[in-house]
Amino acid sequence: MTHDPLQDSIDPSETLSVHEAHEDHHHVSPFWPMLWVFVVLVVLTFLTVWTSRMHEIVIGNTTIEFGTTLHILVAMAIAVVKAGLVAAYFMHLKYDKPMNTVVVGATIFAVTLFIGLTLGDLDARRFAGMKDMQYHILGGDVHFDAAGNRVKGKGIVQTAKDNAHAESSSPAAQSHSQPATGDAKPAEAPGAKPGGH
Amino acid sequence: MSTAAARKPMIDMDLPPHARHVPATHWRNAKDEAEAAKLGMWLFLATEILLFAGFFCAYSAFRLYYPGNWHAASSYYLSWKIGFANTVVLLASSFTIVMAIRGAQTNRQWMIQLNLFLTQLCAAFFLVVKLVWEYWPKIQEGKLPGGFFTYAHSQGPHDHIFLSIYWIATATHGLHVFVGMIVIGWAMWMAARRHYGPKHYTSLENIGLYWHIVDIIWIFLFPLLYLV
Repeated sequence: MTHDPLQDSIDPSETLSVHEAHEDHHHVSPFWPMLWVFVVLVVLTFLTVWTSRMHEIVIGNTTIEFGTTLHILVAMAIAVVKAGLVAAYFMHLKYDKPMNTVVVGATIFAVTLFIGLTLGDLDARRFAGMKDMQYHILGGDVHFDAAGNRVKGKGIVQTAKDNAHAESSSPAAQSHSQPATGDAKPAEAPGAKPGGH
Repeated sequence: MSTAAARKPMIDMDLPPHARHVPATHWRNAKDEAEAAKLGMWLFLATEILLFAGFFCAYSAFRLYYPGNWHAASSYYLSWKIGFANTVVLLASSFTIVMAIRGAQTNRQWMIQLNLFLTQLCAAFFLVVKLVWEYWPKIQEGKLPGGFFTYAHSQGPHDHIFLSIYWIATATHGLHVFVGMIVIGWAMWMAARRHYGPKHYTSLENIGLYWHIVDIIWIFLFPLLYLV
C-alpha cells in the first residue's frame, strides 16, 4: 500500500523537534524582582513629584534655580528610566529575542524625527511675524509702508538678477563682465546670436 | 476518504485545555509561533506609540509657541494629586498583570484569575477617578477643549488650546484603558475556561504588552501635563 501523506494525522507532540521539546518554557517572571521593580517605579514617581515642587537647590554657597526647562528635563529623565524599567522587566524585553527591542528602538527613532523635525519647522515659522527676521528669510527684499504693513516687493529671483547686473556693471568687475553676457562659448556656437549688448 | 478530517491533528482530550494547543502547521514548534505572535504585537504597539507621539508633538508646539503658559494653565485647571494617584494605581496594575502571566507560566490558575481581577480593579479605579473627579467637573464648568470652551474665569489667552491638548491626550488614553478593560475581561473569561497554562499563554502575554504600553504612555503624560 502506497503511503498517502494526506491520510497522516498530526501528532501534537511531533510538532516539536527533539531538541526543542524541552525549550517551550522561556524565562518565568520571578515574583520578588518584579515586586522590586514596582517599588522602584513608585519611588521614582514620588521623586518626580518632589523635584517638580522644588524651586531651588542650595549647595554650600551656590543656589541652583529650577527653571521650567530644568523641571522638564529632570521629569523626562525620570520618566525615561521608568519606561525603561517597565519595558525591560514587565514587558520582558530583557529576556526576549533582540528583535523586539529593535522594533522599540526604531519606533523611538521615528518619534524623534517626527517631533524633532516638526518643532524645527515650527520654530522657523515663529519668525514669520517678525519684521527683522523677514529681511533675512526673504533675501533683503522687505519693504514696509508708513503704517508698518509689509509691502509686496520684487521677490527673490528678481533680486538675484538685479544683484547680478549690479555686480556686472560695477567698475571692479568691468574686465570680466563683457564675456559673461555676450561672448558665451564662441567656439561652440559660431552661428549663435551674439546675445546681450 | 475525507482528507480534511485526515489532516486534523489529534487532540488529546485527557489533557487540560491549556495543554491541548497545537501550533499551526507552518511553524516548526510552539515556541516559534509564540515568538512570532509577540513580534506582531510589538509592531502594533509601535503604531500606538506613534499615535500618542502626535499628541506629544502638539504639546511641544504649545510650549514652543506660548512659553510659560503651560505651567500656569495646568496648575490652574488640573490637580496633580489626582494624576499622582492614578499613576501609582496604573503602575500597580502593570505589576498585577505580570503576576497573572507568572500564574500561567507556573500553572497556578488561581493566580491568573486573581491578578487579572486586580488589574481590572486598578483600571476601574483609574477610569472612575478620571471621569468623576476630573472630567465631569470640567464639563459642568465649561472647561472644554477649543471652541467648546465656555468657562468664565480663564487665566490666560490660550486656555482653550491648553484644554484641547489635555482633553485629547487624556481622553484617547482613557479610551485605551477602557478597551484594555474589555480585553482583560475576555482574558478572565478564557482563564476561567483553563485556556492559559505553561505551554500556552501567548494571548495573555500580548494583552500584558498592550497594558504596559498604556501604562508607559501615562508615565509620560502625568509629569508633562500635571507637574511641569
